[in-house]
Amino acid sequence: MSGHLGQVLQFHLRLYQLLGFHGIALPGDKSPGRMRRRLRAWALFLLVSLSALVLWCLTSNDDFLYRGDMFGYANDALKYVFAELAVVAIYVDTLTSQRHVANFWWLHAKLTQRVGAVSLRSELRQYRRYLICLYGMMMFELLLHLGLWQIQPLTHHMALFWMTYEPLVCLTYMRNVQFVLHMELLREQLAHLEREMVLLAQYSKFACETGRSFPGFEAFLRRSLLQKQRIYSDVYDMFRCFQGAFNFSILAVMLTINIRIAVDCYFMYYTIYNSIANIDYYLILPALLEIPAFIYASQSCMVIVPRIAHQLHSIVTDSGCCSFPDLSQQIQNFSLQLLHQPVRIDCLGLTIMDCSLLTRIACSVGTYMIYTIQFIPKFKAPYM
Amino acid sequence: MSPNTWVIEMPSQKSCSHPYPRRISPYRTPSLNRDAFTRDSPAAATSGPSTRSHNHPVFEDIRTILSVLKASGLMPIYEQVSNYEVGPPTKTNEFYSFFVRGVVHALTIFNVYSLFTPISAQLFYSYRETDNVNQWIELLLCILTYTLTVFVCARNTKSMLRIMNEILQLDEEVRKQFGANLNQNFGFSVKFLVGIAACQTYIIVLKIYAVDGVITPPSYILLAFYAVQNGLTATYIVFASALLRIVYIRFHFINQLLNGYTYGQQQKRKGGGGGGRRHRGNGQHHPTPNPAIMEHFPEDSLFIYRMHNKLLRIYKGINDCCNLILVSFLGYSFYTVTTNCYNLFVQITAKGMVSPNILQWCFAWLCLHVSLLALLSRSCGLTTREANATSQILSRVYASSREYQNIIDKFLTKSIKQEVQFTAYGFFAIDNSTLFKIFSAVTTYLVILIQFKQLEDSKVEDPEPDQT
Amino acid sequence: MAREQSSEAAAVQPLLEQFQQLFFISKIVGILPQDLDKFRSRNVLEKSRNGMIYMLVTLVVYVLLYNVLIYSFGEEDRTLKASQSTLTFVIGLFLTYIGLIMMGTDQLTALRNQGRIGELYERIRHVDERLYQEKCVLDNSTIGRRIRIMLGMTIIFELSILLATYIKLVDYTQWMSVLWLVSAIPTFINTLDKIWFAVSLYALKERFEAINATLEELVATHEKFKLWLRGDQEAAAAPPLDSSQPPQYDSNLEYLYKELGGLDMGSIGKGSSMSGSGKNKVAPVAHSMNSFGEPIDPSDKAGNRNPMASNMVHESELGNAAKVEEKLNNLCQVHDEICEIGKAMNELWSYPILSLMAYGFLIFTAQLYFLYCATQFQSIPSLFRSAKNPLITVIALSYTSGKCVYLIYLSWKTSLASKRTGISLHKCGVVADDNLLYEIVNHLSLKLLNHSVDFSACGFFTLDMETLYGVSGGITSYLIILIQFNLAAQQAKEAIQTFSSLNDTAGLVGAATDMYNSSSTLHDLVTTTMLTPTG
Repeated sequence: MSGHLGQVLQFHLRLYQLLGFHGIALPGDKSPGRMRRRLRAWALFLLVSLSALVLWCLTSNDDFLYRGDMFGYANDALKYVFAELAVVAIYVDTLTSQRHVANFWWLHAKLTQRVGAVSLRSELRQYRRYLICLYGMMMFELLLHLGLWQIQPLTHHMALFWMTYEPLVCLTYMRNVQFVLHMELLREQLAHLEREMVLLAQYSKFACETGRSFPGFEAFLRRSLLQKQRIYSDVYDMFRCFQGAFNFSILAVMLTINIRIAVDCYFMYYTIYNSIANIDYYLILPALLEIPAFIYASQSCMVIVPRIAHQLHSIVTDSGCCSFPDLSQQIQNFSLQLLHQPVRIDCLGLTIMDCSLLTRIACSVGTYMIYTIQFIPKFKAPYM
Repeated sequence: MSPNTWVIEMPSQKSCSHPYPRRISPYRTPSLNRDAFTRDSPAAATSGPSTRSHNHPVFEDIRTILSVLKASGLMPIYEQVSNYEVGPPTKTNEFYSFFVRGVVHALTIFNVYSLFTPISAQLFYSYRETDNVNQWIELLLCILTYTLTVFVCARNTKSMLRIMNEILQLDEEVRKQFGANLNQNFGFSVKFLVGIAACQTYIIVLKIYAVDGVITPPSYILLAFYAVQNGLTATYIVFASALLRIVYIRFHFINQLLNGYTYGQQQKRKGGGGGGRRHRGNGQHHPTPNPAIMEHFPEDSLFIYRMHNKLLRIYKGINDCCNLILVSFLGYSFYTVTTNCYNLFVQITAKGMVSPNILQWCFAWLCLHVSLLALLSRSCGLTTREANATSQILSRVYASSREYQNIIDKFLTKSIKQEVQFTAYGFFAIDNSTLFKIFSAVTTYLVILIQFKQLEDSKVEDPEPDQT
Repeated sequence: MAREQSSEAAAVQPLLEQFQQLFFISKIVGILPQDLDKFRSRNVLEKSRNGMIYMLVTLVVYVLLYNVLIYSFGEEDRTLKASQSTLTFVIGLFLTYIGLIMMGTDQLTALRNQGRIGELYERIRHVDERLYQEKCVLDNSTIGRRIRIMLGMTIIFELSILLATYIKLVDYTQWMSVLWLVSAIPTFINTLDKIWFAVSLYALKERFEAINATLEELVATHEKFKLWLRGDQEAAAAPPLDSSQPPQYDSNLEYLYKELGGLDMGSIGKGSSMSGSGKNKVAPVAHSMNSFGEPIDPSDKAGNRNPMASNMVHESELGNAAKVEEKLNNLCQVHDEICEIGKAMNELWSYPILSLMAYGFLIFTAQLYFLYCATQFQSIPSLFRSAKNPLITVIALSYTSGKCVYLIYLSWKTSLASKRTGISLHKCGVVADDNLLYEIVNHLSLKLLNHSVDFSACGFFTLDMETLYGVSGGITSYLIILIQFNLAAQQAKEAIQTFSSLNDTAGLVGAATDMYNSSSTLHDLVTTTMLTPTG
């Protein structure tokens, strides 16, 4: 029983339910209300247990945090604290924004209900970006771990640290991939709309060039434009739901990954510089890929709207043979609507999630690295 | 109120300095008589009879600053063809400007030469100390900025004249249409000129007192030319601000004109005194113009659109003309402000050896540059805001008939994506936020510099108390 | 016309009615110079000379007291200046006075604005009247509650910080220590002033939302009207999202209806059809937008809209383009007027906001930095003694940052709400699908695009979340710079002390260079002292 969601989507949503990220029932579930309450309880349980884990790691006398020096200790603590922040944000978002998520899926179902059942193959092709993102990440992380622990001798501290820290990291990654999935769905809707606009534009061009139009042609174009306007409005609402459902967790996840990159980059430098036999800094490589994955998805989502506007304006309204004042009015209305409803993915309005963010992150990490590197080893290095 | 009546209102005392949308005649007969209520600018009143040869000299308001720039070769010594047109300079005047620029470049080369040779050594105690290197770099930056200014001005002579002509043409049209004379008091430019001159003299005197021993003639030349360079660069910035202010006044004029058609004003007109309660809060900022009659809207709006377009073109032209100069000036200013703040801080916190000379020197520089930066960013910000306000005001016009609505729509559509900005060579937009950014950057650098200095100090000083 | 106005005035309760307690407190502590009696009797803010004199006196008294405080507690700082680095000292001095500067700005601005604030509220009242004419009644009682909550929070925060610091960190055996109470005055006064701004801003946001709700209401009634026209009574129970084709009840959608219905009874489709349960009969999505972030009191909306909803179920204004044009025009004008009020308000409070933001940035950075210094057992300026205790620091930081962030957040939300109007307007156009209406909507939508409410602090920076991002980045980098330098200075100091204790006199001047070729025992000593700074 896969309902309208398709097998791939169904499977992955189940997966997110298991992780406590998806707080509503799937189609086909019996008694969605109870399911929802159960999922909520499950998320709460996960939140409490993970928080307890982090608390235990932070306060325990065992070797969870690096005991070598104060700075390393503080850095490990920082990583735990931010991971905890991310976990709290994720589960609080799951617990409180079920309404937005439900609306999102409701709109999604509404917009895609016209499409009939699809084969697994086409579904795989449809979600390929998301699948590559998810499984690529998982494989990469796994391979890295396997390879690394072959080479690197496992100390007590490392074992304890990675055993407790890795699940938190995986959770943030999975959450990130969940964002990617949602944005991918949005992008798909927008891309679909764009394709239809292209068809419409070509059709009108053809009709005007050849002069072959039927009596109700203008009314037809106008009606289909109106249809598109409604669809766009729904897609925009979907986007709003996405923002509402994931605002805080986007912020927290991005922040956590960012902090981890900054801290680990510094440690990479530090260990190489002091030639300490420890190469677990290779584990930030997946983190380096997570942010671009997110940003790529959001960027590709955002670039479509201007393209839709472009296609909209390339609908021919008047040529030698025909001139449609009503149609041009409809087009104007649509373009104004596009102006009023820009798809702009930003976490809480803080900063827009496009490729320029990548540059800024790189810049800030670079700056902090320079500060920290400039000062710390200055007095130590000569003695080492 | 029938359309045939003359709508002339006595300006309230607040609006004296502002141009007033004034419909001289509903039939648009060009009237060249100056309106009885238009105030002669004080500059015109005080100007000597020599400038009165033409009955209405162009750019009366910024005459002083123009003459300074003309004398230094930064502006062409143009001929006045008529009241509303200027012509290219005569051969002799052109040669004069050319000659002055040549002298400037020769002096620049001399200065650079003496900077790199021991001739100027007495002005800098030694090259080792950071402070002197700073001053040295400051000097170089100043030379660079001024040279750039001269080059850019020489290249843009024609476009400068074109901009002036465009402004004058626009004034003529406004005068024909509304009989309004767009003059305003540009007293600030004169004040700034005096301030700059005083500041530079003061700095030179301080410098001369600070040097021990007899000062050699090359040093005198270096110093004097340095002062002149600084002063002229600053003057140019003031001139750019004045030009922007001129554009601002024009924008403001059309905005005021348009404001008469907004729904608030229209209701006021209909309801007499009682209906116009809505804009009472605004009264203190904008002298509320007389509500216009809606029948004139198509005609006026066309005129306003045309004017707005022209103004935008002028604005862009000005921007193109002083782009590079502004960038280099901002860089120079930034550097100067940072180093002087740093010096000031070091002087104040240094235990026991506060030198009043350096303190005054720093203060003079800071005053000069901060006030110039503030002036520049303020006038840019004002003009940009006023240019962008037109569409906002237009969106407040509610016309009942379709055809009027279409007129409004056209302009609004045009201005949707048209964000007017005054940029520094495309690097960043200049407005109040630039000032903010500059100061935050200065603070950051200061914190870092001061911390480094303390780190150095603590290394040198701290062992001593331990041993005693 | 006058009579009509008076009857309206009776129907619309003025916003200032809710400000009674706030005004009373503000008046006593000297934030507002306006006349108390007139406010009590007629709810107007009017100039008053006595109030002005009183305010100036309070300002002078506060400044004097604060200076006495700084002087008496500055005894410890004099020894500090000798030992501590000059930067810490100068920054500390500057930071002690920024609170005073902030308070002075607030009070002087209030003096300057005393005539204009009254006008502002008068304009808001006129907006309310016009909204009332458009059958859009606003309930101000939430604002009163909001003010009380804010006042309560302020007092709790101030008292907890003050008392905790006084008990834990001030030597209260001396009678001079009572002066410590003065240290809370500037922040308290500032907060009160900001409550005025925040609540007025919130009121504006509510008005924007009321306009949006009216437009959405039009859409919803029209959809119902269309369904009713088709005689499709059963379909009327379905959510009116897609009126062109009523959604089919396939398994998928049904599950989601159940889901949504379970989440919030009556929020979607089924519940809201005829009962007019008010809170959300537009569309589930629209509701989610309205309720996003900001809790809206459901009772007031329901109370206002109930009668309308039941009256107009089967007639739609959107069907009649000529009639609705008037209404849309009016709403647009009101929107513009609210935008203008927002701008005017921003201008009135621009300097206080600028000083508040500067204060917030500096205090946040300084408090964290001094917290770091305190954990390293370095001395800190005496007025920042609250940094010695992490818990008090957390409270103080959340208080300060709460103020700044709330203002930024609120202005961001307000401008978002003003932008939503355009979207709602387009929904009207699309749902009616009428050429005449399209014309109107296009025209008004262009106008709305040109209405702008962006709040800024004197034009230096805009008050939106991007600024918050920038500011937090700034705070982080300053902290890193300061802490790193502090660390470096400490390490240098310790290293040099070790040298001098070993009588290595050669290393006096060129300590850094000589460190490189020293013995390994020294190395061990230095590293151990460095790596365990806290011991």
